[in-house]
Amino acid sequence: MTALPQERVAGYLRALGTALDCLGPNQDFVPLRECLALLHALSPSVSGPLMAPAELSSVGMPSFAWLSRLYSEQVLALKTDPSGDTPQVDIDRAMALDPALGARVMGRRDLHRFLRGRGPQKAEGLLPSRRVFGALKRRKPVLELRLYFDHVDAAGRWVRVVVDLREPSPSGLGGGLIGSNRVGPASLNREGRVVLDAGVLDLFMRHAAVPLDALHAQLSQAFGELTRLSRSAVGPFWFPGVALPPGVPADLGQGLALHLTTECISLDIAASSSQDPLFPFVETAPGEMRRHLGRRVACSKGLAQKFEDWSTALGTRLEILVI
Amino acid sequence: MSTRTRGPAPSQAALQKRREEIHKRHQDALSKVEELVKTQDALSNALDIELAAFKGHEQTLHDLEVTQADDSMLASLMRRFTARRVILGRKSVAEGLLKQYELASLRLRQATAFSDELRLTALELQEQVDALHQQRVESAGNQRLCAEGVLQLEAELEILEKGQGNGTKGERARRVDQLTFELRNESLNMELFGVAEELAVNSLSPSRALRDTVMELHEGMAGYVMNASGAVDNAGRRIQALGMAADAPMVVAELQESLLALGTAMEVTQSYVEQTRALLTEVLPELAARVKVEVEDRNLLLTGSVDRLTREKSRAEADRRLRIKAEDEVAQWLEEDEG
Repeated sequence: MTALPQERVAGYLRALGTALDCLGPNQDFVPLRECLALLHALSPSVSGPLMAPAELSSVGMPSFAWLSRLYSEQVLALKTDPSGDTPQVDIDRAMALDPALGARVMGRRDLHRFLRGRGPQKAEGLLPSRRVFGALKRRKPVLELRLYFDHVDAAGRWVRVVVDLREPSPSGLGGGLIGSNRVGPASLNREGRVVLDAGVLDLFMRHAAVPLDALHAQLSQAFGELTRLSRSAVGPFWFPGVALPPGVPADLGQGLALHLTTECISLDIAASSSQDPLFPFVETAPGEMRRHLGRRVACSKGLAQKFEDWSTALGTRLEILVI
Repeated sequence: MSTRTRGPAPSQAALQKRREEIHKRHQDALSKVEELVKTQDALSNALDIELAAFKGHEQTLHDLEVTQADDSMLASLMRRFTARRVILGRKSVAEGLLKQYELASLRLRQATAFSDELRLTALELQEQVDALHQQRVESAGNQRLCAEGVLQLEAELEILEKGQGNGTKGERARRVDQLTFELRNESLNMELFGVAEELAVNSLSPSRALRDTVMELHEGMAGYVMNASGAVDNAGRRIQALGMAADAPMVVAELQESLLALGTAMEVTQSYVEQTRALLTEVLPELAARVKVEVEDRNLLLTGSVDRLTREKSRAEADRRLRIKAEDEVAQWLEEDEG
């Protein structure tokens, strides 16, 4: 856990946001817009010194404690009426009596105003600490659903697990009837929305961090047939001061580099492969599935060639974008 | 005679208004302090309950360990038949702990905001105390200038009354009338400044008491938030770090250990709850009584003395006040010298 000096917080958040925007993560990752809203809410330009201290996790992402403070403020903001906001005259008074106190009071008011427009149901919402939801992928010939589990993992990365489910064949163990609206604990309601049974979030919480094949085994037991399973993370974010994993050349930490990583097992992948220089060896996938490991990096200009060299040396094809 | 210029003397009406303003401020502050103490009581109670619930997960962890350690034939047979239901029916310890952590964390953010409110109130009350000191010093200074003026006018009058001094008899008589008027005026001003000083001095005590109560609340709350935050954050970090694999028996013990840290926070909370209770039951009634006495004292103030001024009384009063001021100065000088 590293604490950022207050004067470096805005720069750090801007760099992380720019790198993320540059990478433009797809739907396998947590939504870009929510990530950017989260980074904006943490910024001193919105909340002054209220969110201090800004602490980073071991992989250079905002720490759990830092995010927790923001999520608590979000709950408080949504619970309080805007008419109860501290009036400007009181803020001016607090500023005159104690500038540090005044800055906190103003930061709280401004942050709450910002957060009220970004509740869980709003289009501009913040990335939540964890959630699970489902969407219809295909209705015919057999029902196919997609489940998403978003969370901040133990290292502080923002992780999304995507599970594709297919309605089981009638002969299958625990199978349902063709044409039903249910796949395991997920069902389609009359409005065409996917409703999940209680316990699904707990199931993901219990197993999301285990190796992907073990997760596949657990989910198959609960859901039936999985056609695709992916786990994709925003992070690590390397910059001077962040410890690099063993085996990574030290000079890759001499600039900014945000990583997006994906591990996916699916029936649709033609051949297993790894384009991730950190895990260049491919293991077999369960059943008829194939595995893909990918890594994309947005880095400062001076690092691009170094990343390229590292990747090539390990026989992988790392996707590199310059911030 | 001092070369300092005396400020304008307050009228009785102005003093009355000032008195009412101070009283209103005290009443407002008292209501606010009462509200703050009640909020503090509610907040610390809620947090105490939440920390206890958080810590209560120790038992859940223990039960989980027992369930997982059940290797009997029946248990393993049952697991086969009920696999899907059991998988979905099992709660994640991490999820339960995270939810409780979030509740405690939320309450701590509320407490942090409340601590800022207390700090602001304490600063405002300190500002009032400062203003009263300022008023007291100004009134005392003006009173002294008035006393010096009274004695000087009296000396001039004595000369004229003895038939001495320049000018014709008529001019001297006119001057005597003029000086007599000025003397009465200055005596009245001296009294009014005296009342203003007394008003400031009497108001200082309840103002200080209110300020000290809020400061006590703030100091307690700030220390308590720091203590509890440390323990809750620590537990949170460990839950987050271990949480995803929380059902594995090997880490259950570590999680249990992390919850033990909450015990300290709970002890602090409980002593804090008691402290707030004492404020509610002892300090607040005493404060209310002080503010009430302040009103009664003030009602006695201002009445009577100013309109029964005679020259002898004025002179004696001017002498007395200058003597008191001189004694005060000497005492202060001695104190500084010793310090």
